[in-house]
Amino acid sequence: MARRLANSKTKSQAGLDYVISSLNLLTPFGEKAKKEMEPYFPGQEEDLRQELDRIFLLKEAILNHRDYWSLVEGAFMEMKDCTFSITRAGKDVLTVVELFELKNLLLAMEKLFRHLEMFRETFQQPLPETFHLESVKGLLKELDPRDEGIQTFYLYDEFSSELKALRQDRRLLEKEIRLERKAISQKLKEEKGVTLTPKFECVVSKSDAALVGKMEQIPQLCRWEEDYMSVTFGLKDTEKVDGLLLRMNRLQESIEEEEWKVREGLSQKVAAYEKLLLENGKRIGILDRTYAKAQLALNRQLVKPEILEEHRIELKEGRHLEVESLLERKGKEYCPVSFLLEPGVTCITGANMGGKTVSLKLAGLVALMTQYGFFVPASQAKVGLSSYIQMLIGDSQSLERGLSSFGGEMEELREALDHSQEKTLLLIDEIASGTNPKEGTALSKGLVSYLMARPYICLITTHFDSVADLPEVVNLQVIGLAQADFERLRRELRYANRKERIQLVSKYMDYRLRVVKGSGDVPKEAIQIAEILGLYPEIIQSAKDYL
Amino acid sequence: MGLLCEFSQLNKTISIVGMAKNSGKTTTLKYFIEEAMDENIALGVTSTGRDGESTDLVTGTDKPKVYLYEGTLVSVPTKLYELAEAGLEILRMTEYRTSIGPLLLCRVVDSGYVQIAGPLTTKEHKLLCDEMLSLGAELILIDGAIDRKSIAAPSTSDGVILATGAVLSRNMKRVVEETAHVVGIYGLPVLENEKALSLIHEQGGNQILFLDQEEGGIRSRTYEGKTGLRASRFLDEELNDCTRFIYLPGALTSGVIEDIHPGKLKNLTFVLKDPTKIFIESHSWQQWCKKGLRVFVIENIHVLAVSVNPTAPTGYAFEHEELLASMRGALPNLPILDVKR
Repeated sequence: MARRLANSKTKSQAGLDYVISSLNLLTPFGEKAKKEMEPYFPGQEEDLRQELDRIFLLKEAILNHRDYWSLVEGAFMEMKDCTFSITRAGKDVLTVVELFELKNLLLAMEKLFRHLEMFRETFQQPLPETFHLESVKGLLKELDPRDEGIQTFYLYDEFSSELKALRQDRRLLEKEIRLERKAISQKLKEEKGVTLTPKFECVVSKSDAALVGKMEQIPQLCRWEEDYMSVTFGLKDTEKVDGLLLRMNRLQESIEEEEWKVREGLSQKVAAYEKLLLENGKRIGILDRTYAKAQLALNRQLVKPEILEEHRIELKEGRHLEVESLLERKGKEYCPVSFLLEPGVTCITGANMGGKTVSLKLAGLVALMTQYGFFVPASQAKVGLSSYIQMLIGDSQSLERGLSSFGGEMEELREALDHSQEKTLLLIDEIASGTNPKEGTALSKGLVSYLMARPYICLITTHFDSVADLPEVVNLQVIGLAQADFERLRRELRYANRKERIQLVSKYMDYRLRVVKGSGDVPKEAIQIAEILGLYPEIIQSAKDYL
Repeated sequence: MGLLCEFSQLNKTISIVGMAKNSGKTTTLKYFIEEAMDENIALGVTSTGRDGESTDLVTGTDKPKVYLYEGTLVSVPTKLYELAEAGLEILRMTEYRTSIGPLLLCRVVDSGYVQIAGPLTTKEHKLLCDEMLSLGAELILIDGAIDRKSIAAPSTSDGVILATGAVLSRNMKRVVEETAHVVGIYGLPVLENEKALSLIHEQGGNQILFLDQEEGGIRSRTYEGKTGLRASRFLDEELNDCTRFIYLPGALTSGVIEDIHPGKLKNLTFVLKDPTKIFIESHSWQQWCKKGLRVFVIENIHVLAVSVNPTAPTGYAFEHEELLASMRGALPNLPILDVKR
């Protein structure tokens, strides 16, 4: 079984799923490559660096030669996955539709091949080995005997001289039969005054018994069809026509046989190219995927992370992409966050609504994106690879398994600790907040002491002061409302409605993190925020008194 | 000059529409394909649904394939390609899907029988026809889907050939009457009052609209209540002395008209999207017309010819000449063909 870097819940909560789904892949091979995407683990740093270099190269290439890459995109979009037909060609005979689709794939592959050649020559820039395609000209020639380079396909006469001759014969025979019948029809008209339709039929009403009788007397005619109102007479085939028809049937058989032979021959030629075609497909997939990653990096201002040998995550002005796009839609800006995570325990403390959980997710997202070979949303990033990443977040309540939210949380924590190993990244949101503060604090402290003794990077958000106070715990505090202009805030609040109050909190909130040394207080901003959001003054006052 | 040649001067796409199942639609199509070949018209052939299958899926009666000649453009679903007896050069695999695989756009390079199918939506249909025309087709024949007259919405083709026949009724008089009725309503006059037209277009054409003649021109009122068959009871209340037009986006049935006070009918004109919105059979229609019913349409259907099939698949038949003669009597201005001849 393949190693697992993170479970699917972690990947989705951190926002990796969102990132992967925003990759814009243009070929079915790219879609496949996306599904087969595997993370890089510690020990594979060099491979990862190469992947990131490839993205960098394409990113620069797109920036400098946009027109050229739109040609490449054109070739991408003509690709259709014919893997099934290609693998089938060795054992079976392909249908005409399959050969048509293959021809189109080959045309697109050849086009892409030429574009990539051109890139090398025109821009004097080597492309990474991984993207090298083989030319499929040889096979294309087989499927395009007229060398027209257009997409149409048919079992053309040029495929086999035998086929050509047979088809010629059939056309001549068809004509001969028609002429023969026409001659008889003409004779009937002249001699008996009977006119037949172009299909050599004649409908006679039964009420005209004399005519019916007369028609029946004509030896060249026979009854074809009859209802109670009328009789349809048709031309009786002469011995000569019968003979021609028999020949026609045999000819048809030979044509079908010959067509089968042509298809068989073509299938074998396709089969001979099987390995090359499948390899080309794979490489196109990787090129397409890398191209999509480079496009994403350009569109979302991502940077190449520096890959470290030691386990450490250093982020300058990081942005959580999914949250950023949500804010963008509302016309707001994301407040970037910087932090350094090293083995040991780091706590994020600070105001409610201060973006603690988003910062936690950001740490997970950057780690995951790096290890899946993406550029990352920050102005600068240095990342040491983790061997296991787990995020504990939100409501783990499970009615099915009879667990309360606290129970669910504890179970998930146990699972996370079971899986943890060297170079683990653990991201824990508000552990034990669902129980009484006394035991909650005790549990959290116990967990932190346990984690301190392990070689993991742990990031924990908490409200419990004394947890962050433990020696050797790094305390990252949300700057929060500390530096806000309260006078102005109060003035603006006077006229704000419910929705605007929430917006005011985010307007005055400083989401950035700062390292607090020693036993810095966990800021007490909960009451303040409750007040901003419009909780009754008497409750606020009373709460302040209790404090 | 043959009939088809004449048609193709003014119409680029011609649908063949059946009055009922087995009214000889496919026979008519074959008849015109033959004629196109004789006249040397470059042809495109498609259908508004799967058609040309060897047996009719609904009634199980015989339905032969269509014989196509070299050079004809045709749309064939992927799964029927191998079954075609004609030699078909694949020009393009289209993005139009059918239940039997995506459609292939082909050119016949070796004459023979082909089973035809076409795109399922009107929009895709239009695109396919345009593509065939750009590939050199001078005329496109469309085998209209199954039998429903209602599918022959005007936007699918420039002109229509109506296939009718014994299958409609054992009573020949009724066959002629019903056919003449359909031809009549297909050719209903088009609304030409520009002010009224622009008011209807402004509303998007999906709401009931009252157009009142007031000082200074026509004003429109929308009807806020429910639309549909049940809404007609309220229509009467909304009508006033000034109302000149009433635009109905939905169906026009006898029920709708019955709910309107007969006195108000005289000054009123109904406006419909197209004639397929009328669901009134010929007798009632005539009676309503006598009482003063007037209907305009935004777009009418151009009937080019009527083809008759004197035999019904259930075994009875009419005298060919008699049917032709009485049909010609009822529709003196249209070419009437007996496709069995």
